[in-house]
Amino acid sequence: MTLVMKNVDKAFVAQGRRREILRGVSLKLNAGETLALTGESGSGKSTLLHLAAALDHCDVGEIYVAGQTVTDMSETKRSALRRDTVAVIFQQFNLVPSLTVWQNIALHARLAERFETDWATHLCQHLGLDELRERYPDQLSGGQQQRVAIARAMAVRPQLLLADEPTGNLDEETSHKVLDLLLDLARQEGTSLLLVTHSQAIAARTDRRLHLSQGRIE
Amino acid sequence: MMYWGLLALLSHWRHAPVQLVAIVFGLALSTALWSAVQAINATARSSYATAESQLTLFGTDRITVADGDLSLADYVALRRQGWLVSPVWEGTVTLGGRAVTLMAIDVLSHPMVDTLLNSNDASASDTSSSAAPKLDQLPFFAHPQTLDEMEIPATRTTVVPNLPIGIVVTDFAVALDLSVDLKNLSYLVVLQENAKEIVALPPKFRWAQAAQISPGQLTDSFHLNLTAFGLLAFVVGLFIVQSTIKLAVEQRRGLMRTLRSLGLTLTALVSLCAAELLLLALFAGSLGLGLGFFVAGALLPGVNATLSGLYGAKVSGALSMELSWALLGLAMTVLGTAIAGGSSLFQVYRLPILQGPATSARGATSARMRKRGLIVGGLLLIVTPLLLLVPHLIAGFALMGSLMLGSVLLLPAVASWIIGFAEGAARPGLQQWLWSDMRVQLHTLGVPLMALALAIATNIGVETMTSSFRLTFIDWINQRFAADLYIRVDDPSQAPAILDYLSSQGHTARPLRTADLPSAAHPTRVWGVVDDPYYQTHWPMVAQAHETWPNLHAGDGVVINEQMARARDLWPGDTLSLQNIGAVPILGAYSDYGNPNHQIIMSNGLLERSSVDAQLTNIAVAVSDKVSLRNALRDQFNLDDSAILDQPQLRDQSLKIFDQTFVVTAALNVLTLAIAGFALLTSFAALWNQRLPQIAPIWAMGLPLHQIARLEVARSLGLAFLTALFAIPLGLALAWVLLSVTNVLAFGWKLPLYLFPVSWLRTVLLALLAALLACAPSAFRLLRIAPSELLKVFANER
Amino acid sequence: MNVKQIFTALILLAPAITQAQGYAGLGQSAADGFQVPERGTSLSFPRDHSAHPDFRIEWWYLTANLKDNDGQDLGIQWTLFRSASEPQETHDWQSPQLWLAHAAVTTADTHRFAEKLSRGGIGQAGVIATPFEAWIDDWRMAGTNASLDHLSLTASGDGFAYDLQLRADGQLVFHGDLGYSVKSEAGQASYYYSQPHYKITGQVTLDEQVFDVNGSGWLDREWSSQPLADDQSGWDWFSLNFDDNSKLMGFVLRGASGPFTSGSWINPEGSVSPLPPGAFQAAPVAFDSSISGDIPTSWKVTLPERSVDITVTALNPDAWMETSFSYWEGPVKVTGSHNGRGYLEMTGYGE
Repeated sequence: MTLVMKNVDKAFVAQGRRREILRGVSLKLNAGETLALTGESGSGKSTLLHLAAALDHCDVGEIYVAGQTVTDMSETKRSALRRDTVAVIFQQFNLVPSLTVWQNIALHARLAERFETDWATHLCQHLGLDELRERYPDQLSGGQQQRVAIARAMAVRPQLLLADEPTGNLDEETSHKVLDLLLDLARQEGTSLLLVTHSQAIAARTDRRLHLSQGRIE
Repeated sequence: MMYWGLLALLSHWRHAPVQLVAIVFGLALSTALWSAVQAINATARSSYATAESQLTLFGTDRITVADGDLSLADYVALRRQGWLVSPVWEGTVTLGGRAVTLMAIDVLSHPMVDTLLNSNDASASDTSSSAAPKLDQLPFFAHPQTLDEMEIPATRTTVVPNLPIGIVVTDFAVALDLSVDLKNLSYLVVLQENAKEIVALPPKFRWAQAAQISPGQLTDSFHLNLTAFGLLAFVVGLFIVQSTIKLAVEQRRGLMRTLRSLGLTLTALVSLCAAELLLLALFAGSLGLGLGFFVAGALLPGVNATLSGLYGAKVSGALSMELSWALLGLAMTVLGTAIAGGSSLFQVYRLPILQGPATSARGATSARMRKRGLIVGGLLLIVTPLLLLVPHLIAGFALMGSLMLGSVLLLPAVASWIIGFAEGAARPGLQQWLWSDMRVQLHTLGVPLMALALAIATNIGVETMTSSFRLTFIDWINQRFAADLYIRVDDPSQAPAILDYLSSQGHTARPLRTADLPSAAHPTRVWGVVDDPYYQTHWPMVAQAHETWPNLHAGDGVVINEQMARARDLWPGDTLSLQNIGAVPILGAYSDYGNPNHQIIMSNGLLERSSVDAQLTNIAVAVSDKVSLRNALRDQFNLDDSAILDQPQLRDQSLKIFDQTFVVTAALNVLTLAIAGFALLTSFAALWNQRLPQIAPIWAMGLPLHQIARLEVARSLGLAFLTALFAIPLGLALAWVLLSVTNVLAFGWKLPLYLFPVSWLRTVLLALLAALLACAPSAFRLLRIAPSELLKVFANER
Repeated sequence: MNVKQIFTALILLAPAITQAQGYAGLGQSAADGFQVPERGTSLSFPRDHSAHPDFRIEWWYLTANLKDNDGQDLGIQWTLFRSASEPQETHDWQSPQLWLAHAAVTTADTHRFAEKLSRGGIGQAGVIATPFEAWIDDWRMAGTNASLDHLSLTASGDGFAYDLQLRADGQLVFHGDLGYSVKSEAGQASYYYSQPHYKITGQVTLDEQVFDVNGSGWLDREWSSQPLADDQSGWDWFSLNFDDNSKLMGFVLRGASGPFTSGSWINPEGSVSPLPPGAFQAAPVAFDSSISGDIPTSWKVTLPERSVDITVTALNPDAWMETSFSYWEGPVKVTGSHNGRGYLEMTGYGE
């Protein structure tokens, strides 16, 4: 079991008002399984993903990643978990603008001290980034940046890959291409993939689907 | 992990080299300003001993024989009793075809020797050969102009620019060859070390105190100014360092978030940032030191001229790179970076991984910061008046610091309040947007604006002080030395003859008798004056009673100098108890700048009654043809040049000094403002990314870019102007502290405050110019921005 | 250039070890009309207690090991140097004779010293034989008659002063060949005699505190015109008083061709035996001075012919004379085959 969530609640306080985002969410993700999480804007998809990535804390409930309890982990251990076990493909990519494509792809793996040149080269070829290796992020189109983000996440060979609207910035044709790549890679590597999307068409391509509505899994 | 993390952090600079240059330059400039002031001060201080010994030419205590001749045997006898004295013979001799005043000294003991030997190319005193130079081979020391008029081989002379024209100094062994009669010495110089020993002086001898104006005190005053300037420069620097570091963190929030989400631990990130800051501080600090050295080198001739003018103190012309100020400068940068960077590092520590609702949160932070500034500033301002009660120079400096810092910390709150008020009163629409936008900008510009306020206030304060000093001092010299010639009478027996001579020539002379009060705790000199309308019309008074001078001439009271009045809190209406006379009323207090000692003026009659052993020491003469009287006196009474003081000469010298002081302070002023302007510039650059989301909607609503650019400029100027308005009263308060608090604490005299609105205007214009230059790149960039850049704002909005 | 440098240049005896100049002129041949010491010249008193202006350099050098009432060790130094640029004296300002004096008080933890400078010819400094008096300003070493048997000694400076009475408890000691003391293999020599038998009482003031003291003192008299060979760069000079009343004077002159050593052994009865070159041996064993790392502060001294095998240790390792020319001078303790006290002078270090 790569990811387990049990009865997770999460609320935000903004301008003195408490807003419930997640209520009693439970889910399981097996090793090598791909899971799509769909839902309306504001249904809590991204929050759930941030909790799974140990980027945020939940209020109530328990979260396990790769057999470890994330819920009461120290900040240092959370960092280690993010570095070594989990990889996130952010909606806004979060590429480092001052590093080249190649340096960006290598960054996470190097922080985790497990960078393999051959594997990164393979990813570049596979994702069609070979020609762009020395470019900077602001010289790339949205689709290209998306692929760099995917390459960076895959380069670290995570047990759990979390993707937040990985095709959100792309047209339909490119979306499916990118998704192909992502699913291929995940299956090849036996990576568990949690994919957040609002598109049913995208969701239809994963092993399993969950729908989030007003903070509850339906 | 650390390595790649650091590399990622540093990669930002390769991507944004201009920012890196801005930060390094900002740090370097503030180090430069601080270390330049330090360097000038250090160099001036290290030359202080030299300066003191140079002054010993005329300014030391002397021993003479009360009645009769002073022989070599007298000198040896005193020496063998333990007196540390050095013999001097003065007289007119014909040397190199010209009559000069020869001063023969013992090079083995005279305190001036260091100065003589330091200030020359030592052509004649060549010590490189192993054979010892002989004393009778020593050179003649003189001012270059004196040497020009004499025919002596250059190998026998040494140029000493500090010597008065017309005087030649040499060793007794050389003087002996000039077939002059050295049998009787002129006087013995009392060496400073002698003060430590208490050996009774045989009654035959007479100990004459040194001339009263102590140049050391005036030199100290100059150093105090520079120290105050250095302190304020330090604070300005601190503000600038903080704003540049804030910029460095601000620009990389995204990068840091990404690194954290990729698993870089918090400790690692904070350590990396700290290491980067240290690297930057060391690098920029070293650069700043070099720059400071250069600035100090450029300013030093001015300082040198300032000190060596009236003060007669000589600062060595070459600036030495002293480890002390270099390390101090570097330490200041690192310490300043640590203090200023502390809050930024704390921000990094508190940085959430996930981006919150950015702008509003930041608005809240800056409101909190402003509140904190308000509290600290308010507390400092509450402490400020309390410091007035502590009569110590350190408290004076603390007062200055707390006043400046406290006020400046209030600036963002005050500005925010004013802008908020204007915003409320503004018409809805563009005008309101303008004000609200200005308030938003204030969050980022707060710190550089504080630096600007500090710079403007310092400029106005220091300039007001020097200008006030100048006006007062010149005025004082004009009044006090209204006579044309002052004759110092070394030999009291000569006095009647000189007075007779002067009256036979039809000159009005005012003899002055002096005596030193033996019992006073503080060195106190009593002056006896003759009844002359001069005092009524010219003597510069600080405080006086009704009919001061008529009463004084009638023997019904005394006037005292300001130093004594302040130190003993004696003012008109109080009484002073005098030996053999009893209590006498104080009729007034007069300004007596540069004099560390106390002074009492009374009528000659009163002086005689007090039976203090008074001597006629000075004669003031009003005369039109000074030169011929001077020459006549010299020939008739064998008075040397140093004994006859010329009033216009004195005034010109003082003016020259003040003008030099101005050159130095003006240069430092411009530099401070430039640095504050630079801080503004970097802040505008930092604002750029935050500005676009503000500007894009307005642009989309149809306001042309050139108009937006104009508004940008107007807003920057408006903020600078607001700051300047705030800073002017602060500068005047600073001037008041310098003139009325620190100066009194340090030297015992208070200076009146004069206002110079023109100089404020100049400073404000300079500040506006700095603000204009600072916002120009942003405005220019706005003019040339591609619409797609602005559209991106909307694309990213979602 | 400053006053200090001109002094240094003016004063020929400056052992300020300016290597390039071969000992600041000391190694030069005695040209310029100066006399040179000759073997076989018999010294004559009181004349030779006084100054010899026709020799280039000369000194009256007194050191004393004292104790205060609490038994604390304390050393004093009183030295008057004469240096001439011409072999004559004139009685006016042009005198070629220069006088320099050093005085010091040294305890285990303090070291105070002062310096005086004067020209000859005017009476500010000088030495006369009858009655004996050597002085510069108010520093004074004066006898009641033409001998050196009873002396009073005064000096003062920043933070110290002393006023001592000296009584000789034995005869003068003549070093080398009846006072002709060889200083190098090449034959450089000086006239050299001592009065090592002083018993001393008096008062020493140190930082305003007055101590009653008593102890022993040693006066060296030496004059010459070329005491050192060209290659000699400094010396280590020992004057030691053993508890059995025997005494040892020994010196090492350090030169490029190896050290030259000589000295005298004085037995308890006061008879003196000159030591042949090389008999006296001294080797540094510790360097503990905070002034400079090259200053030996402890020595192993041997004199096999007298079964002397001792360690000589500085009372205060920082007894540095930071004067016109600087050198180390201070009291020492002696332990080993013989126990006792003494004085050590070392030049040519710490530059």
